[in-house]
Amino acid sequence: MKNEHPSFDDIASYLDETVTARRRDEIGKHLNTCTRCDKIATRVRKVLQALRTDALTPAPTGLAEKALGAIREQRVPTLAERADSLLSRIAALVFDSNTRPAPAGVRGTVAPVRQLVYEWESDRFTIRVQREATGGTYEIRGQILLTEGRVDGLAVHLRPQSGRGRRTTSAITGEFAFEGVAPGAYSIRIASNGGDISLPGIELL
Amino acid sequence: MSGAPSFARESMRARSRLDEPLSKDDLLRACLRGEEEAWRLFLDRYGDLIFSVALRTGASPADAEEIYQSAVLAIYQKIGTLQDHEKLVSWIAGVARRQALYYLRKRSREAPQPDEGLDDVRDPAPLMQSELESLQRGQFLREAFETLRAVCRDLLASLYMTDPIPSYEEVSRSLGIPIGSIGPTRARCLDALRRTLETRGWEMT
Repeated sequence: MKNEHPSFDDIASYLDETVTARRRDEIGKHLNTCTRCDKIATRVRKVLQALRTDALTPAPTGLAEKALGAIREQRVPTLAERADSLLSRIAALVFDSNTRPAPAGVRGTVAPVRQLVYEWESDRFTIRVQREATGGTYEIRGQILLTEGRVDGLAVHLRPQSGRGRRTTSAITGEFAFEGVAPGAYSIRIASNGGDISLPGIELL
Repeated sequence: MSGAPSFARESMRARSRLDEPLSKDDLLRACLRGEEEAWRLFLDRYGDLIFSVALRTGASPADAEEIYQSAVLAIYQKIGTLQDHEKLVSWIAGVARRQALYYLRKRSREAPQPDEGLDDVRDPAPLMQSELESLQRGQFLREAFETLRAVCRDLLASLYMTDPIPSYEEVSRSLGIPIGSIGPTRARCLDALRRTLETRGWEMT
């Protein structure tokens, strides 16, 4: 063989041991005498070694989405979030249809639909609670009415006093809904543009 | 910053449509803001590392999936404590390893122990330097791999990351590459990978 530099393919095949014994000898002898080719071989050898011994094992499909779901359900509020919820980001309940007095002469009854309106600064949040036809559960529908910023795609969390909450995302109109909600006391937390806002005291009795 | 980030509105959506991958710092900042899309990208980039640490700590594939979930939660809760972003890979590996050891120790207590007193759960200790370096090389390789064309990723994975290593006939059948083209294609792909690794600071000598 003339003292030609082997091609990159030849060097890779040499390192892979997929060349004939004769060709292997030829390339081996060349690498012993050619600094340039030996350097290339060293580099390729390192890559091959890494591929064979250091390559990570791919995580099974679906594992990441499952983990993201678990994070959403079990997120731990930061101290700042707790402080926010206690001090400054609780929206005020400005209207509750349950507290409106019955008209004179009419015995008051619990209305089948309860409407709540909350305000935080100039933003408004409406909640409509209705008992579902079967199962003793409730449907909660709401709408986010912000004076600034988008109202769609906001994360809305329904948070019970204990146990796991639920999460949904607001529609393009700012509306959101939770169905099949068990009786209990809840708050709703909305991740709006300026930060999380809590709508407290939603009691489903 | 400390504590777990909240899942705020997905301002990452616009960025995620771009072709440029996020830098590590930008990704971490978005994760700290609680952006769900950022966490999805984080798991896409580092999920294999988490899974591999679990396997290399001695977990079965099924156990590694469980460890993955708890490790991701732990990372989510503690990401704000990471001071030096350059140490992200070793930090993730450390969190995943501690979760793996805890899980395996718990399992070994729950399962009946053979009389021989076999204990395959090692004592908690920092990752050995050689283990850490291998994981770092694996992550480095993984990120470089992602920049290759699909045919290169598939071919190199088939030839070097599969056990048992398939024959050229099998590779030709599964990837649809003519047998005669496998060698030259492999060479081009290895060269592309080598150049990417060198550009990113991989030490070749």
